[in-house]
Amino acid sequence: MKLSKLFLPLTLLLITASVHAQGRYLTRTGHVKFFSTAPMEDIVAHNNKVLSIVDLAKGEVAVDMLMKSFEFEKKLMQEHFNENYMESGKYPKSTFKGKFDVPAGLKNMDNGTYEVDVTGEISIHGVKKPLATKATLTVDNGVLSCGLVFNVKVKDHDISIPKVVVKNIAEVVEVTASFNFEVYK
Amino acid sequence: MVLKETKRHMKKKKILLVIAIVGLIAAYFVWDNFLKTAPSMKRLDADYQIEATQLYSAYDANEETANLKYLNKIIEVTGVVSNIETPENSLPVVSLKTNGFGVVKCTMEAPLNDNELKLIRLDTPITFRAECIGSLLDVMLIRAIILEQ
Repeated sequence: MKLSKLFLPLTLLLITASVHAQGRYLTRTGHVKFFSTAPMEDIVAHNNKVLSIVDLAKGEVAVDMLMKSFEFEKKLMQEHFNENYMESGKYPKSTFKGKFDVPAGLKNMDNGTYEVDVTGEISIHGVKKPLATKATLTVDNGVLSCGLVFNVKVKDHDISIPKVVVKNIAEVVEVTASFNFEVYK
Repeated sequence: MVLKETKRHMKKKKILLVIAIVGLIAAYFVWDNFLKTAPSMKRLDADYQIEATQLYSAYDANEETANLKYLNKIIEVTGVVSNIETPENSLPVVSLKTNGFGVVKCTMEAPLNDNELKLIRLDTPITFRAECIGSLLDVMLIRAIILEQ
C-alpha cells in the first residue's frame, strides 16, 4: 500500500487520539469533607488525597478515596471512625462512578461555569447505592475544576452506630467534594 | 454492743472495697474499649522492610494481591524523596520516587519539627516506618515516622 494512502487515516487517528486525550482530566489531591451534626457534637473530617478522573469526551467521572486518609481533629474519633464504623481495614476504599451530559461549551473548554446532573453509583463500606447529584464544573483559562455537595444516609451503607454514641453522630452526613484537575497525559 | 458495731463497720469496709474494685475494673474496660488510642508508630514493629520502588511495583502489578500482603501492615520503606507537601491544617506528606506513573505517598504521624524537616531533602534517600492503607494511583502510607540511618 502506498504511504500516501495511509497518510490521511493516520492523521485522522492521531487527531482523534489527541482530542480524546485532551478530554481527560485527573487530580490526585482532590478534597472531600464530610460533616455530621448531632446533639452532642459536630464532627468534621477532611481527605485531601482523593483521586478523580473526568472524561469530558464521554461525560464520565470517577472518584476514589481511601477511608484512612480522612483526618479528624481528635485522634480517638479518627480511630473509632476507621475501626468501629467504617471498618476501613475490611473496606479501605470508597468510590463513585457517574455519567453526565457535557454541555458544548464545557467540551470545548470555554471559560465559564457549568452545572450538570451526575447520575451514578457510590460504594461505601462495601455497599453500593445509586447516587444522583448536581455538580458545578468551572473552566478558567484552560483549568478545569469541579465542586459538588450531597448527602449520605449512614444506614444505607450498613454502617451501624452504637446506641451509646448515637447522639454524637448524625444519621445523614453531608459530603462536600472539590477537585482542581490537570490534563491526564 | 461494741462487738456488733465493729462487725457492722467491717462489713461496710468490705462492701466499699468490692465497690472500689468493680469501679476500677469498669473504668479500665471503658478506657480500653473507648478512650485508649493506638500506640504511636515508635512503639510498633515493622511487618516488612522494602524499597519504595518494590512496594509500588507490587501494587502496580496486582492491587488485590498486594493488599493481601501489605494492607494495614506496618512497613519500613526506603526511597528517594520526590516531593514534600506541608498543607495548612493538615499533616505533612512526603512522596518517594518509583519507576512508574505514581509515587509512594507518606503522610507523617505528626507535624514535622525543624530537625525532622532538615532530614527530608529532595532527591535524597530516606526511610520511614508507616502503616500501608492501600493504593489509588499512588501507594498510600500514613502515620509515618522518620527512621534515622
